[in-house]
Amino acid sequence: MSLIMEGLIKAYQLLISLDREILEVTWLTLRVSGTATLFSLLIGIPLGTFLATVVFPGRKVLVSLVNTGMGLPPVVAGLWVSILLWRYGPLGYFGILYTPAAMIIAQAVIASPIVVGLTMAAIQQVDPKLKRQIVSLGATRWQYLWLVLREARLSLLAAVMAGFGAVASEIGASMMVGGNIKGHTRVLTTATVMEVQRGNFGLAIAISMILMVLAYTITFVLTHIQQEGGKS
Amino acid sequence: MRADVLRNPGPPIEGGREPQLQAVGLRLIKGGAMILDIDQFTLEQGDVLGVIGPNGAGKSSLLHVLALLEKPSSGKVLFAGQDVRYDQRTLVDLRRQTAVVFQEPLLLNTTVRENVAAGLRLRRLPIQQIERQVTHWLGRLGVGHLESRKAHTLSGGEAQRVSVARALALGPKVLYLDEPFASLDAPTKGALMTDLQRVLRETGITTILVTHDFTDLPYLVNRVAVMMGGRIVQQGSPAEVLSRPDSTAIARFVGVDNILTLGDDIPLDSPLATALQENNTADRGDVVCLRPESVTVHPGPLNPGSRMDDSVNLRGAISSIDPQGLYVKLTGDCGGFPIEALVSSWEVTRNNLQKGSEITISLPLQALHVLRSP
Amino acid sequence: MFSKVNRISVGASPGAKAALIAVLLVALMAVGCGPQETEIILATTTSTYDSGLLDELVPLFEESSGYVVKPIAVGTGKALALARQGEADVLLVHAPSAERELAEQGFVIERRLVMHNDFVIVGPADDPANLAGMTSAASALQHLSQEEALFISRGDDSGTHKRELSLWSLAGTEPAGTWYLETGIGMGETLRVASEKGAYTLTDRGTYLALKDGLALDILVEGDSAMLNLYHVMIVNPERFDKINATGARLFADFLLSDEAQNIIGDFGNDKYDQPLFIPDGGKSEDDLTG
Repeated sequence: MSLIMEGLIKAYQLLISLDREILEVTWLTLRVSGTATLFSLLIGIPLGTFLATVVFPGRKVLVSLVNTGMGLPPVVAGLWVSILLWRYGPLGYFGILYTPAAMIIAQAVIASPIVVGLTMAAIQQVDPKLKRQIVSLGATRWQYLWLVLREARLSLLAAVMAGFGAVASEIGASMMVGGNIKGHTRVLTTATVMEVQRGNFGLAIAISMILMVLAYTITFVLTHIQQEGGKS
Repeated sequence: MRADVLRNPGPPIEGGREPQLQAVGLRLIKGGAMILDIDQFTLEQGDVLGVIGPNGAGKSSLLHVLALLEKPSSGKVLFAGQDVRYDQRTLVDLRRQTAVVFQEPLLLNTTVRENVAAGLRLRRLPIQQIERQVTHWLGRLGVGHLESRKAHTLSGGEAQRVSVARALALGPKVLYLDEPFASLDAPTKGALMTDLQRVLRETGITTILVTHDFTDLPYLVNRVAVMMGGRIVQQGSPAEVLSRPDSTAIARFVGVDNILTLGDDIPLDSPLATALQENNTADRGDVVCLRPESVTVHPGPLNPGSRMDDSVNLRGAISSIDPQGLYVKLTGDCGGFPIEALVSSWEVTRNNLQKGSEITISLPLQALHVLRSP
Repeated sequence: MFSKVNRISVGASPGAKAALIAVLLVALMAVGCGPQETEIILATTTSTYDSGLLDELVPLFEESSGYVVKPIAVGTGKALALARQGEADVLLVHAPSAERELAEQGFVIERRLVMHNDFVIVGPADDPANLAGMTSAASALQHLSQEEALFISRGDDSGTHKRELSLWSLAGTEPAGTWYLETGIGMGETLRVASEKGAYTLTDRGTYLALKDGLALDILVEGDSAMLNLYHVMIVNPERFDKINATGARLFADFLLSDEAQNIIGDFGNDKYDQPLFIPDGGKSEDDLTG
C-alpha cells in the first residue's frame, strides 16, 4: 500500500516539476505510438475494407491470418522486426535498429492486424440491405466504400482505440528494437520495466501512472469523438 | 374489397414511343433453382406497373434485376431501348437514372435532410440545385418539419416517407418500389399511398410497384403483372386481372373465391347452368369464377329462377357467416353448390341474416368469368 | 459485385490525402532514421547500466567527441551474443572467462580492464544460517546448502548468476531442493524478493547499496577474492565485421581508461552511499587483482 502511495506522490511530483526526462519519455511515447497507430490505420483500413468487400480465391486463408495476427504476442513481432533490422539482417542497410523508427515499425506490425480485423468486422456489420440501397443510389465503387465506412464509423473509431491501446502499452517489441536508450528510444513502458528490474518499485508505479493518464486522456478524446459521432 | 373501387382503375395508360424497360429471355438461377423465367417483358414509359404474386414467386428478384441491382443468369435487359452492359460505368450511369424504395426505409446514420441529399451528392450536382430539390421533395412528402432530425429517431412511417422523398428527389426515369408499405400499419400506409398516388399522377414517372397485397393495385397502378413460380402468368389492367383471372391459381390469389366447374360443381339443372349455356358463355366442363363482391344477397325469396338485369337469381340458404373486418362473408348453399358473397355488416343486421336464413343470391352474368385454363 | 479494389486511402479528397502523407513524412523524419556514422553501439549488462555510472560518463564522452553512444543494456548472455554477431561496436561486461573465449575466437580485440567491484552474500538480519564473519564465499554457500537455508538465485545466465554457479562448483555442491529458488528476474527485483522472504542471495554491492534502505537484508559475507567482479571493455573485431564503427569504439574505450573517466568512476556513489560503487583499475590487468 505504501508503495502505491509513494508512487502516486512521485508521479505528481514528476509531473508538477515538469521533470525533463519524464517529459521527454512521455513525448516520445506519444510520437512513436501515435505514428505507429496512424500507419496501422493507413494500412489497415484499406486492407480491411478490401477483405470485407472483395471475394477472391484464398480470401479465407488471408482472413484467418489476420485474425491470428490480432493475437500476435508483441514480443514475437519485436523479435522478427529486429531480425530484419540487424546490421547484418536484410534491412540492416538502413541502420534503424535502436531508433524510434524501428519502434514505429514494430508497433505498426502489432497494431495493423487489429485494425484490419476490426475494420472488416465493422464493414460486414453494416446491413447488407443498406449496402444495396447505397448501390441503387448510383454510387461508384469509391463512393460506395466511403458511405459504408461512414456508416461504420463508430466501430472504426473503436478499431483506432484498440490499435493505439495495444501499442501504447506494449513493452517487448519496443525493448527489443528500441533498446530503451535514454534520450533516444526510452518510452514510458520500457522505463517502467527498467525501474522494476532495478527494484525501484515506487518510481515504476509513478511512471506507469503517467502512462495510464496518457492512455486514458487519448482514449477519452477518441471516445468523445465516437459518441458524438454516434449522435450526429 | 368494395366493388366501387374497381371502377376507379387509377391513372390512364399513356403509351410512350419507346418502351422504358424490356427484358428478353430473362432467366435467373440461384442455388440450382430457377428464380426467374420470363421470355418477354415490356414496360412502357409512363406506366405504373403493379407486380403481385405469392411469396417466393420472384417479384422482388424481378425488381432487382430490372433495377440493375442483380445480373440475370441469361437473357438481357434493355433500358430505353439499349442493351444493358454489366460493366461498372454503364451500371452506375443507368442506376443514376433510376431510384429504388425498399420495404425498410434504409436511411443513413445522419439527418433527414442529408439522407435525401445523399443520392444527389453522389452525382456531384451544384449545391444550390441539390438544396432546392431536397427542400421541394421533403415538403411534397410532408416531412419538411423533420429535416434536422436524425434518421434513427423517426417513426416507421416518417422514415419511409423520407426514403420515398430521397428516391423522388433524384428525378428518376424509373421508380422501383419493393413492397414499400409492408412494414407500415394501416393508417400510415393509407396516408402514404394517397400521397404516392398523387405524386405518381402528377409526375407521370414510369413505376414498378411490387406488392403482396393486391388491394393496393387499383389505387396506384394502371397495369398489373401476376407472377407465379418465377413466371409472369397474366398481365393486364387491374380490373382485368382482378375480375377476369386466367387460371384457378390466379383466381384464388386475387380473392376470386367463387370457382365452379359447370356440370361438376354446378348441376346442369341449376338455373345458373341454364343461363350460362344459353348465352354460350360456358360449356359443360368449363370453370366459371366470380368475385364475392359482385354477388348481391336478398333476404327471402325472389322470383325463383328469373333473371333480373342480366342476373341469375338462385334460391338458397345461408350455410355460414364469417366476419371479415368491416365486411361479412356469407356462404350460401344455392342448389348443391356454395356461393360466397361479401356484404356489409349493416345488411346482415338489418335483414337479420343468420345461418340457415333463406336468401336469394343474384349473380350478374357479366361478372361471371370463364377461366381460360383451369 | 466488384473485382479488385485498389489499396489506397479511401474516400478523402486528393488534397486531404496529400496533407496526410506530408504529415507522415514529417513525423517520420522527426523521429529520425538512416544510418549514422557517428553512432556507437555499446553492449553492456543491465546491472552495469542500472548502477547509473554510464548515465554520467556517456554524456561527457558525447559532448567532447561528438559521437552518439547507444548503450544497449541486456543480459550478459545477449551482450556476448551481440559481439558474436557483430551487432555491437564495443562491449563493457563483467564475465571474464566468457570474454576470454570471445577474444580467443577472434570476436573481440583490445580487451582492457576498466574497473571492478565485488559481490557480497546478503541475508536476513537475524542470520539463521549463521554466515556472518565467514571469509570464504564457497564455504558459506556450502553451509547454506547443508542448513537448507532459503537462497534466491538469479537463474538467468547473467554475470551474477554465472558467478554464483562458479562459487557453487568451488564448494563442490550442486544446489537443489525446495530451499533453492531461481527467479529469472533482475538483481534489484531479486533483492526485494529475498527481503520479502527472509532469504539469502548473492548480489553485486552496487545494487544492494542502491536499495539498502528498503530492504531487510544485511551484508553477511564479503571480501573473498572469488567474489571480485571485474569489468573489461573490448572492441568487436572490425576485421571480422565490416560494419563495426572501430574508430568510435576505440575512442570510447580509450575514454573509459582516461584519467577523467577513471576519476569519475572512483567517485561514483560516494555522496550517496558513503562508499564508491566501483574501484577504477585503468592500466592494470586481471592477474594483478586475482593474483
